Amino acid sequence: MGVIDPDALVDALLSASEEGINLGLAEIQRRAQKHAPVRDVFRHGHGKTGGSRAARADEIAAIEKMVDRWGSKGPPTAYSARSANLRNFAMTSGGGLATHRGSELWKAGSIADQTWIPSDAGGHEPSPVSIRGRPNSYHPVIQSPIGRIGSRSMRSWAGDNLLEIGVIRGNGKEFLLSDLLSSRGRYEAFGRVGPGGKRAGRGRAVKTAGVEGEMVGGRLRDGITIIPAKRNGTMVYGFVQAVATDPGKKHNYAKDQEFGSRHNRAQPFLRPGLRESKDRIVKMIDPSKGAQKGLMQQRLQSGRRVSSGSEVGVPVRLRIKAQGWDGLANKFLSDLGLGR
Amino acid sequence: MASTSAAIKRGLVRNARQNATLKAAIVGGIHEGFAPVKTRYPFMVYNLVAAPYGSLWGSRVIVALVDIWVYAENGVDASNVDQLILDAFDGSQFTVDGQDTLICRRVADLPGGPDVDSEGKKIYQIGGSYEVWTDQSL
Repeated sequence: MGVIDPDALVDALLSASEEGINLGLAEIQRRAQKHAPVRDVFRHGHGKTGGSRAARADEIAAIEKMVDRWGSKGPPTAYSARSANLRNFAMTSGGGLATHRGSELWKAGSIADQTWIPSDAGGHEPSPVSIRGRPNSYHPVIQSPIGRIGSRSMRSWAGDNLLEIGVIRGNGKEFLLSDLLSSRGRYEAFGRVGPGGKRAGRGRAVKTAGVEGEMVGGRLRDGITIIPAKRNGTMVYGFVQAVATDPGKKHNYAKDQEFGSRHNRAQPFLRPGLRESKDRIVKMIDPSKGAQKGLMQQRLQSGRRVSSGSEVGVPVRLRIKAQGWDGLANKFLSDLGLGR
Repeated sequence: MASTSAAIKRGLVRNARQNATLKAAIVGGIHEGFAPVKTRYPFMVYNLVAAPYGSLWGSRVIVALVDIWVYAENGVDASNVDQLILDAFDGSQFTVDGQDTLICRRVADLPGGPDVDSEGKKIYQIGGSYEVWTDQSL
């Protein structure tokens, strides 16, 4: 019979526990991100396919360009009247812009450069720069990761042309692209113009993996991170934490979201994530399988708050208490039916 | 008929109101989520954090985690009321409609730092997390 090295055995168990805890942390992180409140920057009925979504950088850029063009005078009422072609990029039906998560809206700008061919002229094959159709009946075509979105006829002959969207008409109403955003969304996206001409842009500058550019909303969600499992003696522990601060400020509002404040109700996301994951985590790090049974005591300490000025986190700790090296080795051998 | 965590919240508020000492201490009343501006201090705010279900044969266990906060104009008042809440809830089996309360216990302190309210008053936020276990037959 080979010699059992108790140290190596404990080391192996701790390594396995680290692995299990890391899996558990990832599970909590995933669920916490699902629960994390994301700023709903769109007006009701626009840009939604259910649930909230964040505005993409190109959407923001298009809107920001308009807002900047207005200056301090606000939206010009003559904006659409002055540029009749803009109105041609209109929707005559449907509930708003056919956007979905990840849609790209092109910046409003040189739309007048496009050539328009009325559909009743007939017989024209669309050239790369011409689009036909009856005025005011066009549906915008939007390039998105899943292809072009818009009316079927438009998609079929739009070819490589992508429409720029300035003014959108829907349900008999005409509104500017910026109107897609709620008032809160506009504030979050652009903020107030400060003395230096800079906008606050609160809620911006969130980098999401796999998505280029910045988004409005999702800073908190993206701030939920994992501190991988570490060992401290025979204890293995790791953390899921949330850090979210506004630009130029140190205050971590993740804490306010998790626990609430005098000004805002709590929208907990970390602890529900932990509670939902608890059973799964225990299974992931369950040391009671096979020969390890009885060698360790595990404790999942949950719901304990770790909060400082900069972070709020849910610790997930697995405490492993070995029964002494001799006892450990004896128990192991006994479980294997090789008692010595 | 099965009932949800809403019944637990109702039971929790009922339990707080039935405690005369606590009721007298929370001048600003009991609020869910947050209290309106100009609510008098001290007041109590509760918020349901999570309420996962555990299904057994023929019965369902709900383990509701509820944060209960006290907001007061000074730390001593906040701590005193927090103690009254602890007395009223920790270890109690208050009535929950349609469910049997197995236990309610405080599982964590939630120490909050001083804050400033919308009127510029310095206020203290102190509270705890309570776990309420209930069982109901299906």
